[in-house]
Amino acid sequence: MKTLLFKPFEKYSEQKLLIVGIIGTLIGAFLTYIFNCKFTRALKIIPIDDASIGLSVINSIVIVCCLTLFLFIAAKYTYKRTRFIDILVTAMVAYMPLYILTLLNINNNLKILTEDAIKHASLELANQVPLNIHIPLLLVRLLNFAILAWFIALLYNGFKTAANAKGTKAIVVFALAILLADIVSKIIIHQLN
Amino acid sequence: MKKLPVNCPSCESPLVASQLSCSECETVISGSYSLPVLLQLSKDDQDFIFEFILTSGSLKKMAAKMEKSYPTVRNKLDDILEKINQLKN
Repeated sequence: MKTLLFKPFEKYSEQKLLIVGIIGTLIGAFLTYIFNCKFTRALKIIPIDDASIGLSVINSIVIVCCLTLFLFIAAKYTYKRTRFIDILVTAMVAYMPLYILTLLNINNNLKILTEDAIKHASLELANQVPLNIHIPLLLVRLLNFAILAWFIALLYNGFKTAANAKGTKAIVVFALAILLADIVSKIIIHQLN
Repeated sequence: MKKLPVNCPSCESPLVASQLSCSECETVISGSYSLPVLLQLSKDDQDFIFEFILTSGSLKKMAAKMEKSYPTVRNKLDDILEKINQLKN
């Protein structure tokens, strides 16, 4: 189970991972659309009013492409024999847990919660935020953190397997690649939307 | 099958063969012969190389046989190559 959840790249062939990755990305884009969410960059999801299926798919593709591109450059720098397909499936499969976050916005719950929190903050009543906003907001943040940690763990394990990465240098180039993918995906998504 | 010890259990230095004998005529040869590099690898690494030869050097076939992904098997081979280079130097 641990292998399946955190290290699938060590066990499963690239063909199987590619199929899972493509199906997962399409389902994820669909969930983003039906639950009115939008990935504004690789590491950020927000609730919106009118999601479109086309833009949801395009945003998912942009994010996967950015992650693949920068991770591939980092992997090639670390290990010359890295294959593109291994990095592509890593980006697609590792990103799948982030689509779970879209479920938080069922019935626009997350949007309503966020708006309430903003309203209290703007009224300078932050210290008087009622518990029915405070506790769900805390739970959302905790779930966000857990899912983000899962995504990073999956992505790093995939990168490590694809690039035979070891040591501090690999961790540094990996972190830089994610940072760049996040920034570039934000710019491209902003231009496209 | 008994596992061939390659390092001294006391000081961990590489062991050498100091006596060879013929099981037929009981001739005994004494001396100091270093172990071949492949024999100095761990049992796990030796088994991996054996499988590698049996699959005609196909990492894809090995990955399928070992139920591991291709890069995992390739990384293992790279690690063994690194160990062999260290042992040779």
